[in-house]
Amino acid sequence: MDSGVPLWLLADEAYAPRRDKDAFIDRSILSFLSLLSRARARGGKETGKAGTDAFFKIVAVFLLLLLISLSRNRFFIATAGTAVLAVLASQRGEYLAAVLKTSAAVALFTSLILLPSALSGTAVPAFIIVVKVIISVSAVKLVSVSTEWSSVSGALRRLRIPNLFILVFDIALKYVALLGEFALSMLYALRLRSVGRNADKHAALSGIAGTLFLKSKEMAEEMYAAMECRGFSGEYLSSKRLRFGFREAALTAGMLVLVCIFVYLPGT
Amino acid sequence: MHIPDNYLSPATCAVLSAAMVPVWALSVKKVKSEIDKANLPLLGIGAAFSFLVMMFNIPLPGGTTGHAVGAVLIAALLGPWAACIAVSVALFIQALLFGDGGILAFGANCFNMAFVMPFLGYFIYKFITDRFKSVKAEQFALVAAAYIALNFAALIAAIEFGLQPLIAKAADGMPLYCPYPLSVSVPAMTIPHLLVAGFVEVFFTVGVFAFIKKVSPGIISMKPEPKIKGVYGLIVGLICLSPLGLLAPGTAWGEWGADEIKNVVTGNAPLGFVPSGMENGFSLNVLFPDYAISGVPEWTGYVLSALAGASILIIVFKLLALPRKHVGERA
Repeated sequence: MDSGVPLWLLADEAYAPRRDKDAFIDRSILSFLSLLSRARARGGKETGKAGTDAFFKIVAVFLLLLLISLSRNRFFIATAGTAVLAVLASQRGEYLAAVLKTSAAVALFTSLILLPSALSGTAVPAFIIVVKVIISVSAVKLVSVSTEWSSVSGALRRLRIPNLFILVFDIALKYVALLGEFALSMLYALRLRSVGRNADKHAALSGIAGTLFLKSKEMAEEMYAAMECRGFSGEYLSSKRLRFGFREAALTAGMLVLVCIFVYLPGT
Repeated sequence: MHIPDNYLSPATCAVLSAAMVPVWALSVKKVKSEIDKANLPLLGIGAAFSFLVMMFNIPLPGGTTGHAVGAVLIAALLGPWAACIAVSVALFIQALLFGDGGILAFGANCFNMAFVMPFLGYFIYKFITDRFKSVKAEQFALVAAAYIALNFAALIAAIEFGLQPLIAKAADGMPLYCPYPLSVSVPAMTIPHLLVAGFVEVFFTVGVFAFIKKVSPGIISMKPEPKIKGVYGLIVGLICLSPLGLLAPGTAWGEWGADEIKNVVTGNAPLGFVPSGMENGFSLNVLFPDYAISGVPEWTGYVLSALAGASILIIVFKLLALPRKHVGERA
């Protein structure tokens, strides 16, 4: 009869972990995952295939935002909106989905916020504000999804942004991805160990964020040593030449037309 | 607390960005002189850390979550000057590369979250810890710093919103940006921050600081001690002056609109202050109220509508053509 299996192993397990509300782990994992997918898609080495030069895109979007924000002319806002729609229509479907998702969310949020104001008799201005917000957010989001991260620092250099800022920006971009991966593995570990009730959820999260800080401190020291070894002097030079092809010319021309319309139209 | 574009007038954005320039310049100078040169990469990695802090979903009672800003934590760990740069860069990445928070409003967002919050938080933290030296006092200092600084930053943002109807109005008195006066914007912003967001910030700040102090006490005691006394005046002055600065361009805006008052009365009165504004408000002709705007030929309206319609159709078809799982992944 002796099968060699100890009796305790044959007894039925009746362990059912108590349910706990730990959605914060899943939600944190999701935020990090979406961040990292963005970092992988945009944060890699420059492929040179990313369409319009980042410098032109950033200048154009800044100008567009300024004009939209300043404009009191509905015709101008309609023109700018149409221009953004036309540019959107020339983009890839993946970009469109990302842009529209954000602008829909922002439009909903802004409409909700402005609803009381609209109901108290200022429906038209409230509607115009919502339209302005949608156009601005779509334009910025399009730049953000269609621009490779590494090309942004080159564009900033051309805009005469101080070296220290670009250095910090550049390091930050690279380490957002690196530290993000690190945080994600810790969150996975927390998820795996989260069985039953966790009495001190904040301690679990503080541990992850705290370890993340210590890790970032350590990485910073290693990075400085590596930079010094390679003779880094603190100067940032953009070696890439400004690309000026068809897309850049079209964008410049389009922005010029918009500026002309803005100046030409009365300010009401 | 990330203000998107078009909630604040460009004048407000310009004033707040101008206020940030000396703060950034001074921060860079202070960081270079007071922090060891070897800590330079720490600014970048601090910015990455500051960016990631906002990704943590902190548990709230009832299973919901919220996220912290983390500016006070970073100020307590790295000093206020380094925190100012780190949070600014994190906000910049969010605005430009993630479309989160306005680009024109970047200066305003930095003013609230990269200047007011870390400096006020650090000041409160130092003020208490310099006078009472115990672990309990340090914890209390962090609690007070995180709670007060976050709420004060929210209050400043509310004031920025609430000033908009005063300084930027169309000639017919209609709001151009955030339409709510201070009496609405201040309670709307401060009550949720006082009741919920402040506690999220406190739990996160105190928890992470305590963890780091326990695991690696050396890092916190080695932290450089920036001299902050001299800048109290500057900070208080700037904060007091900022609403004045916001008001100053307001006169220019008013004048500008008044020039065109004739135009407005004839052209726009029917669209303006009608009690039944809802009927007009959400019909498409709001954007094209009058094709015959002085100087614009009638056909341009049709061209625009056609272009907009075509673009919308193309977008719809491109989205339909997208493989299903791709849409999900892009989220």
